[in-house]
Amino acid sequence: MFIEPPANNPEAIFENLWTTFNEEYAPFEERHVDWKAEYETYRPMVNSTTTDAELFSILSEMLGKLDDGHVSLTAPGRDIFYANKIRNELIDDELFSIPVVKTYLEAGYNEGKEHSYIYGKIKNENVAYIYFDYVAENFFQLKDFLKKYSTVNGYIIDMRHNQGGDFTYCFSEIGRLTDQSHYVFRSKTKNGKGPNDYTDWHKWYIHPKGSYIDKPIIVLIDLYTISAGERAVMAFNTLPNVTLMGDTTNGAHGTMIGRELANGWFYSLVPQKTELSDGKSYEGIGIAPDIYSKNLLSEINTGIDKTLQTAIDNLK
Amino acid sequence: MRNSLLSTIITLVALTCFGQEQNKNNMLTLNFGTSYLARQDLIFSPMIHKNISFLNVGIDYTREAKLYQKASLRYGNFTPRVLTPYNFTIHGESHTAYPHSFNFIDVNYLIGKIVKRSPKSTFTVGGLFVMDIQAMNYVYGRTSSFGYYSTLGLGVFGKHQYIISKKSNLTTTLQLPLMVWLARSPYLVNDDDFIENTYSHSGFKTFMSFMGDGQLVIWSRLQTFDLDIKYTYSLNEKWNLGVAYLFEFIHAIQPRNLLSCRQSINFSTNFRF
Repeated sequence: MFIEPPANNPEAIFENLWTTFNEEYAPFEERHVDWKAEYETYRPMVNSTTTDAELFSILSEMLGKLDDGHVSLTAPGRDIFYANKIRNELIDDELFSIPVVKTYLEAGYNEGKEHSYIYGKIKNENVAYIYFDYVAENFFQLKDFLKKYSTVNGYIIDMRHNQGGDFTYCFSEIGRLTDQSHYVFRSKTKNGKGPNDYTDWHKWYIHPKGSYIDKPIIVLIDLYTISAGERAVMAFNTLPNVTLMGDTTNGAHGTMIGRELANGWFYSLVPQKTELSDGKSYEGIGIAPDIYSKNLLSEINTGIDKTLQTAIDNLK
Repeated sequence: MRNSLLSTIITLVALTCFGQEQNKNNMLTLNFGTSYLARQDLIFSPMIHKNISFLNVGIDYTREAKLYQKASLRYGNFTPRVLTPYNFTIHGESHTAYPHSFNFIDVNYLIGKIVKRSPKSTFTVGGLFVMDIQAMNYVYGRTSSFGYYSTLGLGVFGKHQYIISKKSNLTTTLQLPLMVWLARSPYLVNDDDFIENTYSHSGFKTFMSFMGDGQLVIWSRLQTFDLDIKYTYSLNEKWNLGVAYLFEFIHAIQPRNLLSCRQSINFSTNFRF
């Protein structure tokens, strides 16, 4: 009575992974990938004698065509393969440094466990700074941060290297920063095997909550701002007093789900399409900053975060 | 339909309040044992998840008088996996791929009446209220997904008790929910409605929201039953010991196929008062 599960051999595993993507992955079009063509390219490489190492390599190469920060492949004893080149090769990863950021803060700054959040006042300036490592309960700190630093000239909200999480924590806590509701983005999720099987579009808004704070805000972003981190940036970006500064975000806007293979490997994929309030999808593109700023490794190594300094200078 | 379900539940509750009879015969039972689960839920995986668990406990309260009543609460935990937990790395940093974790809570209430009696046996039939809460954490290496299967249902039960000797008997019970409020995870684990339900970030409100998104189903959409065969040996007037075989079956088709079979061997201590 059970439905026959996929067999544990290289060819069946390839077929299972390719078919699952074909039926469940949403943004092929946005990522400009012809998935059927990928089958024609990679399927002939797999046969009954394909080793685990070879299979991992073939599947990684095929998934790599998506260049999607939400797509990954996990196998025993191996490094995870991320389909997004930036995340997989850690390109420019070292251009953001928490120890360097901390040197800009006055003594007595607040920090969460494993730097889930860091907030404090910028040294010698009437500017307050908060950093979020991901988007979850740490966003509850936004309330205390705004209350503690209610008389500053402006705020820096650092979303660089934000790993994502659950965007509803940002949406539920952002209320003091707006005096009206704003439409942020809409999304729809695959609910069938066919290419057009989706739920209806669902619109997401932010709403005012609590006493309104009308101060300039600079939100810092970079190539590693991903997923719920990007949805949080989308929300901030609807506010008229917000400026985005830094580098374009990763461009992984749909939700992510996990899957498992018959050989015990795991992979992840994206079952959603998203569109911002301008009606366009930025999946695979990312959210561009209003002011482009990229740190230099030589400066980071000497304790200078140029992007953060530029933000401070803009808020003085 | 929702009003009918609510009315029936209220009637059952009222019956318990008015089930005050002479010659009350009460029994408190503690159950513990081992369970074997075979479960395939296509929302989360094409694999058949199999696991043996020794974390399987329960408590029953039974009252046998003019009416037969039984309230039971059970909990079981399973940790199935395709492979034994293994290590992988993320940019050189070691991590462990842990098993999935399934938590099952079953609440049942039975109320019925003996309809056939002979020197060696009795046959009881009646109505049944069931509540199942199954909370799953599917772990896929670096990521995990929460899943749920929850029911509120009404149905019927039949119980046959055969008296083997003065001290021992064999009881077979079949529980058959017929009309069920069923709530399950969406087609692909989560969607915007699912995320909207979690917006309160409150466990209770989220659970109620998930339940609210369910639907009323009958046998054609959800087939589920419990079969219990229990041997009881009386030590004295107050204490019994028991051993039972329990088979629980779930088959649901929407939004994707779920088939779950759980077999348990439970040992019990029964206190009569």
